[in-house]
Amino acid sequence: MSTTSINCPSCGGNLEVRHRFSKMVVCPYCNQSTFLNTDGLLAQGEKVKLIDYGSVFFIGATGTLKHLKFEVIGRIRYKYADGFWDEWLLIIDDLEGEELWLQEDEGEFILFKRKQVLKNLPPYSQTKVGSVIDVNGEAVFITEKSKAYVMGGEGELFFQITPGEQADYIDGILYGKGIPVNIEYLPEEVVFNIGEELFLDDIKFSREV
Amino acid sequence: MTDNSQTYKIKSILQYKCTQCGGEIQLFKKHTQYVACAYCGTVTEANTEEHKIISSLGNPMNYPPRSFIKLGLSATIDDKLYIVTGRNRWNSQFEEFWDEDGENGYETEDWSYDEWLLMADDNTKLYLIEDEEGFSLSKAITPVFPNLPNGTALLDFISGEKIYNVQEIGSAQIDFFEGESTYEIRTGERIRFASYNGRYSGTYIVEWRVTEDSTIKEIEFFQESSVPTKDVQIAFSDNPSVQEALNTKGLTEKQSISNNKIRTLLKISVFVSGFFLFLSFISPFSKNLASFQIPLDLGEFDSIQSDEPGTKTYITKQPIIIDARYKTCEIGIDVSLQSSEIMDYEIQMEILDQQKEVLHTISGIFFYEYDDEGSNSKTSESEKYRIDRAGGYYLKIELPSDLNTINSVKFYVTGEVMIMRFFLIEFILSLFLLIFIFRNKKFAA
Repeated sequence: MSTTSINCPSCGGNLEVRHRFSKMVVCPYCNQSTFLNTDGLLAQGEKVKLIDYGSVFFIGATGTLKHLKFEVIGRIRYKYADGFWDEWLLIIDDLEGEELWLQEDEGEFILFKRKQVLKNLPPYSQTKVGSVIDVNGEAVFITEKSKAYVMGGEGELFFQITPGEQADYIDGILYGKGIPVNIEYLPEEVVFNIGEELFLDDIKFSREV
Repeated sequence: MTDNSQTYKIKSILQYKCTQCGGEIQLFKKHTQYVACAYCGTVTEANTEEHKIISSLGNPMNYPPRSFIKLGLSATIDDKLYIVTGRNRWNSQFEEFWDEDGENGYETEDWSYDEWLLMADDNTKLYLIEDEEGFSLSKAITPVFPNLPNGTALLDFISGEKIYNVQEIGSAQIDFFEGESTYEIRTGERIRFASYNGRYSGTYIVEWRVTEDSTIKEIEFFQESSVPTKDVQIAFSDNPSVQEALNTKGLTEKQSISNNKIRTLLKISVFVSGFFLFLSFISPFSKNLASFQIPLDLGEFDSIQSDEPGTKTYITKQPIIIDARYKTCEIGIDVSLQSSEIMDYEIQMEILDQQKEVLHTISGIFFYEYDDEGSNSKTSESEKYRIDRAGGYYLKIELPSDLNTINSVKFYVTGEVMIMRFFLIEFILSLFLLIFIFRNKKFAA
């Protein structure tokens, strides 16, 4: 894996970009989010230092998730009315570098895999908790909806984020299958994720990165 | 680059001072987002630098635990170690389904219970529900067929192709919170809930939170099953303080079982006493042993010389047989009058043993009188009398000689099973059991 070194546009600190698809990198020294575009480096939003609550995950951690080799390369923290949650960006070696998102909320883990949305979903404002919507031909029972926004990030991300940016979401269950799902209403796109509940016993960390 | 794998620990906030009172706050879990001060009850943010005050619920002094369970204790459940991390005291109002004798409906109930948050090292969460009836364990689930009660007459819950009766439906709010919480505790916020019984696996509960404009904000699903008190004690038995409580405060497993037995006895006793009380009202175990009317049938009575002038005396030719079952008798005289009649007579009845010795006497001056201000009368006299043993007994009746002006007089002997006595015994027993349980409960607390 090749590493590209750049300097943080805010503090000049050395930033190592390890993944060629990365679009965002957060400076570990000053917490500035930086957008990597063809024109160069663009500081994005305010500097946000994420309070750490002692998660077992961290940027650079490697190991196996149910026997799939992973590496943690980024994190986004979302804030909503009842608190916050983290989503860790994992690269899965065994799936040819496919990205998965591990949601860590109140100490519980759900591994989300992004699915392409095949047809338009109802707008966020027209969805109701307790109702059923059609997503890619499957019934999704909505269990929660809330307005949220991006608090900040860490490490590298494959898309652009801006701290403070709106990230409304819907949580639900695939009716008849009992599988947790999530729909994120981002400013530029709607993302559909299919989840799998994980426990710490399912996660093994390796000693070396 | 080497990491520290599972042992990797970044600095995390494990203790700080309460923003409200300055009391020391220590956290059990790193993921805790909200914590209540053990001294003043104020809930603050745990994972921010300013530790903003979220709400102030009840003072901890006013909401002591119901039993030996307290924050920080460990419990082993299904071979996994949990720490008691928080407690919510809920009060709820709900409609409970009833079904008796082919009729059914819902009746309103109020209930208070504690919800203990138990967290394992791998962040598995369990909720131990404790109320005055005992314990149950609850855990969040992701149902295959998520749903809400559909709001029809009996509020059925549809799960796939199955339809269940909702057993309870209502709302609850938190009166008190102590320890740590992974979600924000809001003063006065009510959650709605409904429960229905699964065919094989306990009770399913659906909880939903609504906003002020009644829009549903979030739905959660739980599976709950009751746990015997002795199993809860065993789960907590590794804690020295619990061991001490078990040994010194009488909360031993043996006593717990004993308490359960006493509770069962109490229920039986209350039921039996209620049964006897019911029987005493409808008197199904009474029997008419003898009944005679004026004019007396001289085939049944002998006329004997009267001791009192102006009276006639009669005695039964054959003894009245009273068996052991009806040793408690009611003997009585009923006088029936014409409404316009004015009378004043003394009538007496005696019960005699085989040797014609008088055992008991009842008598009455029966009268009926009226004037411009109204009427006054005495038309019956009866007494309960308990015979010493079963056998034959005679009745002796003394009447005024001019009795012919009276419409009718009835003499009777009714045997009764001692229902009321049984009721009193059961009632007193129930009281003793109730006092015993109450004392034990106070002792355990």
